[in-house]
Amino acid sequence: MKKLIYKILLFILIIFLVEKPFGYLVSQGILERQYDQRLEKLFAGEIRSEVIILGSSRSLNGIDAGQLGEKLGQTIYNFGFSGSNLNFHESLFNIISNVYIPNKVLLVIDDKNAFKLNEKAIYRKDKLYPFIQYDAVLKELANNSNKNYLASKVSWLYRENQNIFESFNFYLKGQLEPDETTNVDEFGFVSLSSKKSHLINSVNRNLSFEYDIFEEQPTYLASLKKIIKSCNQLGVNLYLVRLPSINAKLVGYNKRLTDLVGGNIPILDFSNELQDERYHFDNGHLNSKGAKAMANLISQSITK
Amino acid sequence: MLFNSIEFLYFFPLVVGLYFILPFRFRWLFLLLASYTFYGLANGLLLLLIVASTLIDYLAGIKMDDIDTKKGRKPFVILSLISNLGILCLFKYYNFFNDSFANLFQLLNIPYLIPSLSIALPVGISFYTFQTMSYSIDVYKGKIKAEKHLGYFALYVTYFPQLVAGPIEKASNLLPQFKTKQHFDYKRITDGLKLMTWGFFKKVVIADQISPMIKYVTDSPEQFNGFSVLLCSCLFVYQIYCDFSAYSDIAIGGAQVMGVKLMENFRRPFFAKSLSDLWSRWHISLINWFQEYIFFPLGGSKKGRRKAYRNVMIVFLVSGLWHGASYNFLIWGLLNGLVIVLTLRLTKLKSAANKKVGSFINSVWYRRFLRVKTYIIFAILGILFYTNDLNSANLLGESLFQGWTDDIRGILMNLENERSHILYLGKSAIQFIALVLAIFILEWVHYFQEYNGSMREFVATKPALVRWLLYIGVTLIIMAFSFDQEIPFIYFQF
Repeated sequence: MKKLIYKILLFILIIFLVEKPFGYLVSQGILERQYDQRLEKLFAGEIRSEVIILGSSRSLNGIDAGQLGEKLGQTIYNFGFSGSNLNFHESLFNIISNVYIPNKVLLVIDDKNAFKLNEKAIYRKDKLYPFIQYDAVLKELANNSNKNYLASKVSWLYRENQNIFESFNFYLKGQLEPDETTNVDEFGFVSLSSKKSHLINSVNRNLSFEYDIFEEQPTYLASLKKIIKSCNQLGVNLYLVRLPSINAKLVGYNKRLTDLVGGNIPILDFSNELQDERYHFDNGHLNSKGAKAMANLISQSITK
Repeated sequence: MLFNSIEFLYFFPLVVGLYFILPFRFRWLFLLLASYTFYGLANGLLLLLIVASTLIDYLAGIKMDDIDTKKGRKPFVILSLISNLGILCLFKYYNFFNDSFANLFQLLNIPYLIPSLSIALPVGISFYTFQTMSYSIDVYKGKIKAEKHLGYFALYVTYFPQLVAGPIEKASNLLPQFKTKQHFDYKRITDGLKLMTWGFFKKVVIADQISPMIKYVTDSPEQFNGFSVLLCSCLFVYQIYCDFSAYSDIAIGGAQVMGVKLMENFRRPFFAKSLSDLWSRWHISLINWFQEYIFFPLGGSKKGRRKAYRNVMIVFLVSGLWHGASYNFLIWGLLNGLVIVLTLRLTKLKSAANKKVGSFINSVWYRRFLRVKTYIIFAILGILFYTNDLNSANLLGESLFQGWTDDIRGILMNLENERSHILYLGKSAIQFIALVLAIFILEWVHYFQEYNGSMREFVATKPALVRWLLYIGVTLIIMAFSFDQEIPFIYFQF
């Protein structure tokens, strides 16, 4: 029996010695592979902005953080991620607040889909996995997937294994090409072209529909509440922001948001602003002109 | 608890360690508690079903043992069968038959008021009910004596390595082993661990990598042409084989570590030269069960050719239903039976044709042709297995014969990254190559086992450095491929 136990222990020891360099190679490869290095900059200490913006692509493309910073006289960084949902925003807030505490958080709340199951807005594990070597990211992934925290602490290869193929791609092909979801500027903002509009003109802005609470998912409501609670505990000023869109009007949404968050959280509603087509990339997203104009409107609202 | 979960990584060594430390007289109790924990942690109150099934079959067995005549024992075997089949029908088939009747009544414009039940299918129900039924029938037939010790009997029903997905063991094989004191045997234990590792390799590196590719096709079947459908079907055969045989390997290996020998459940099915040959190598414990408790009691093949064909069809009809309560599985079972019956029917014709072909039938190329033919037939029938409904199966079945030129052109030209859609089925090139390499390794091992015997014995003849490099390499590959999704074993749903 002793012989077997010694052999198993030796085997485990060798495995741990060998898997570490593999894990290291994968973690380096996957970091270099990313074009969007916002989280890496956060962990490297290069981002310590007073104000951060959280949200989906509507916030990533819809608020020119550089312009807003200029107007407010504060440092601003945009942490919007395309196709992300409220659970992901909560994780991102946890990760950021684990590194430093910002003064203000602008949480961009999507209109009809913010609390609804929606295949276009998911928990973007793929955006976090490249940075799983950081403990704050690992914790969030362990809480939101089947990734095992303890096993990830023990084994570097297991921790990084989701990145293996993309990491190989870095060693074979180099860094990813930027696209309209990753081509971030120095303030984390991605501008969309003003030259080409993808607007669907058939949408009647004069129509309106009632917000339906029955489709709300408890998990998204819980995430919003947790963000509010954390902000309160950490002394962070939280603002909920609704951005303009060219869609039928949503009635009763502000009231619902107020019911959810209470009277103390400001809701900056710009959903009926900037209705001119020249500000829009498509019906849900602002273009670069729109994002600048939006930054001006937000700064006016906050400094009022 | 899943074999491919991190929890099992703690659970198994702990159980094995304590098992060998404990005095022999407590081992059965310890294993029983471990088995209940293994099942109960994931399935909660559904454990009570197993307990109920255990108690009914135990009492029926004891009663039958006291009676000398078959006639006298009959009520008790009927009680056992009704309770086991009742549990199975309620949880697995009630909704299927109820919905079918509802549809029929709707078609006939007759109101139908019996509601469907909202109940979860208990994991492994088809396995443990079949195992306990085999016990009751064997006691009834006087093949075995009833087990008097409730603890041993409960352990026979719930033994955790094979509880949820087999092999479906006979009491005559398993019960005596629980009563034999198992000593610590270095070779037996390391052999068991090696078999478990091979099972993990098949599950994590092959089956779980194919799983999203199959989903990619079944999520939008209308988007695929013949090449992709055939590729998907061929990959599905590997997925289900690697998934299920992996479970069997881990179960057999795990039991071997603790000194229990479970029966072989798969014997390189892709070396089969016909579908009936394949079914003698695939899920052997279930096929044996069907043979012993359905096919032979119906008369087997001894009462004329027609009755033999009828019996084959009945067995495959039941096999289809055993796999799942849906028309897809029903038709899948029937088609498997039909192909086998047709093959049997054409035996004479085939012999005549073989004479004309001459020595070619003895060539390696003819054997390879037969294997590929069998594999392709099994893969195409598999469309019914991996699709959710008959419409999807029909859609993919029709697509199988369409758009081959477009697919080949798309793969060769790769305009707008079509290769990723048609050939890689949603994966990247590097992932696809890794998968093909893993399948190649699997086939090489199978080839070696088929013609040269045990791979473990072969590896054992190599120098220690080579062996250790191999074991470390395989372990690292498993660690590298065990992503954040613990994909449940497919056969859990049965």
